[in-house]
Amino acid sequence: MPAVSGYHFDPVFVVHHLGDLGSGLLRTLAISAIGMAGALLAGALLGAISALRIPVARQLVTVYVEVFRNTPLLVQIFFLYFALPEAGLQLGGFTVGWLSLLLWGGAYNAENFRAGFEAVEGGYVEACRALGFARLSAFRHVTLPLGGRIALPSVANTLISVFKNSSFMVAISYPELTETAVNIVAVTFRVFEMFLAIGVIYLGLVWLMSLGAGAVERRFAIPGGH
Amino acid sequence: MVVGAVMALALAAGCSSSGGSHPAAGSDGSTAAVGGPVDVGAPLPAEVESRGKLTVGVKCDYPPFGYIDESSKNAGFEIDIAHRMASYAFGDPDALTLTCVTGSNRVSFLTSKRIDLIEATMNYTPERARTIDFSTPYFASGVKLLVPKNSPITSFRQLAGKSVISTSGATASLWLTRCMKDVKQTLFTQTSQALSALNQNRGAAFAQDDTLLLDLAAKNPGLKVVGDAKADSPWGMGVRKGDTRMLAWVNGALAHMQKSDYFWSEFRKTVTDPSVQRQFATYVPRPGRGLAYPSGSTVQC
Amino acid sequence: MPPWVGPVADYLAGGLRETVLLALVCIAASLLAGVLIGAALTVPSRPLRGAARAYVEVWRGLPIIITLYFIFFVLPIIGIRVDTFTAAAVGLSLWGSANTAEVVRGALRSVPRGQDEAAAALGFSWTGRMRYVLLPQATRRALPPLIGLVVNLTQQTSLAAVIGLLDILEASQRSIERLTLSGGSSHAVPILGAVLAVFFTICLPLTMLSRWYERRLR
Repeated sequence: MPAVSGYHFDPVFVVHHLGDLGSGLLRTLAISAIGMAGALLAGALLGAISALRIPVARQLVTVYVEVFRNTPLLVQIFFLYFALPEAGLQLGGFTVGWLSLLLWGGAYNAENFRAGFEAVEGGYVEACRALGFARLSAFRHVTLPLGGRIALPSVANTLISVFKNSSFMVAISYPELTETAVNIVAVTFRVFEMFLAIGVIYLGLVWLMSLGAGAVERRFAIPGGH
Repeated sequence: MVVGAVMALALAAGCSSSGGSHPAAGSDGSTAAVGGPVDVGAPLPAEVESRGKLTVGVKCDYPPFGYIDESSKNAGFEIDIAHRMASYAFGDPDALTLTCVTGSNRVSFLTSKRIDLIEATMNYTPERARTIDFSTPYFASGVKLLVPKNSPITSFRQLAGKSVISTSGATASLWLTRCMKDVKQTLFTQTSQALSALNQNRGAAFAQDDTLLLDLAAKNPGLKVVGDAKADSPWGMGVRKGDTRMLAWVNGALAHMQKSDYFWSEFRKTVTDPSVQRQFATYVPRPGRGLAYPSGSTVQC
Repeated sequence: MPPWVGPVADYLAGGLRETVLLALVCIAASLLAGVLIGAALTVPSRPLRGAARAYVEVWRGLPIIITLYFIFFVLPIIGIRVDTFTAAAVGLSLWGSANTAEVVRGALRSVPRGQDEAAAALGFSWTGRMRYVLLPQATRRALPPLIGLVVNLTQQTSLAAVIGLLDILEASQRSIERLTLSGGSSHAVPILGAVLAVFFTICLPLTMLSRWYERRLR
């Protein structure tokens, strides 16, 4: 590629930094994996509390969900990392990384699961109760499997967002993939090649995850449903 | 419904429209007399001339060189120099747009033509000089360490195996990468983030230019500066590679300031502590005694 | 009131104006472009559908930060240079429109196929079917998720701080910066707390509106 306004395209340069990018990617995957797993579990649990209308706990869940869904994740990250130590709680970059993703994704998933659980037709649950199942047991055997499947597409979407949003950790200089790239650009100034490279990495992983989510959705599709 | 959403936002905008101002070129800090442009021995590049303003990338987190003051305006030693250059160019010290840059993005701002000039505490290094062109130097500094008052650390050698805080793209970080491979660097983009991290013991020391560290130590009684200066090298302004007209004009402007001893008088206005002034007396270009870049690598271990 | 509050509040108010302006521009652009691209995702023409699909996959798939860096630092190298506000608006709108398009496509799909076929049998063209049969029904379905997206987009404007736009987050950062460097407390808790509160106050009513509307649909 010819030089454009004094810039010489040098794709080989990226190869020299594969090691750094690799360790950045590992950190991205680590905080994303913990964040995604936590967001899935917390979301299902909190969604159940909301759907079952458990007193007090349900109100607390609502407060948590509304606070985290109605404020920007980036500001939440800043708050956890820079403001909390002032209040006496100091967390490292890695901890803030997975924790902020977990809290954010957990709030969205709580809402996804609640909507899924509430979309299960009342008739099923009533039939189950009529057969002598306890309320919790009816939830476990009817609402959870049916509602969980209804919620699956939006839950998968949220989890993929959690992965993409791990890039927000540039704000606290935690050296995940994006921050690693920014730091390499800071000394090599090769902005074009570097962002092209990590753009491709993120897109590739997001597509892989979408494919995986699609496969899971098909595997667990409710027969005869749509 | 969407209209409702938009209206709600518009209302929120209305509520908040009192007060507040954007940091643009401040009108204070510039001492040049308003008059016609000053001939610095080289013509101002036509692109800048036609825009009627000089666009400079400066630090906003680097007291006393470039920072945001309480009235939300850019202030500091380098900001004053930028105003002086604007008055040379257009006869108006405020014919200036200041853009906040950091160590990690300043070169990208320049190469993407968002600014005409980097004036952001940038040490000369041969690596940087391959990507951009440096003006003649206008200040000098070396890398030292900021540590808590009660810290046992007195030199760089004691940092082996420890975690050290610095800022991304800074000379301090380059030096540590090259010369102390067993140090684990924790890099931030902003000085305040690095300072907070030091205060929160997220690292054993904060490695950065001695000039900044002295200022921070003066304002934070719990901190002190230690170590002998590493990677000392003068600061230069940066222009795009091969932009010879801009470089000639910038060098002309700097020579003009040196001749009138502007740097030294301005520095003493910025840094009022006489003991600190003495430490930096040889660090600014003065009439008949300029600074020079080292010929080899500046990052000597 | 402690003396540090005044200047910080002024600065944040200026930043908030920038945030609101950016949000409004991005919401308008995302909805406009998103509806068109969402409709394009359902057209019979394969190339057009493919192009729309590629647009959606790329801009939904990339982290917004990467898109912003790309527009801000990379495009100028090939001669495309825009100011910080425009760069932020374009980057966020690419993401917003791609997500809007997915919502619109889903809503169009939710209209029973028989209606589309019946309208086609009556001689309606694709645009006619869109305008008189599909869009009116799809709009009702799409509204709750679209309001959710507006909330999301409003929050994502905070990412503009990453490329240096002086929005409310960047203003808070610079205030904390100044207070920290001048040797006192950084007051990060009240300052960042205020930023969180501002977003919460703007977003919560919209979220509640979306949920209320969703419930009414059922």
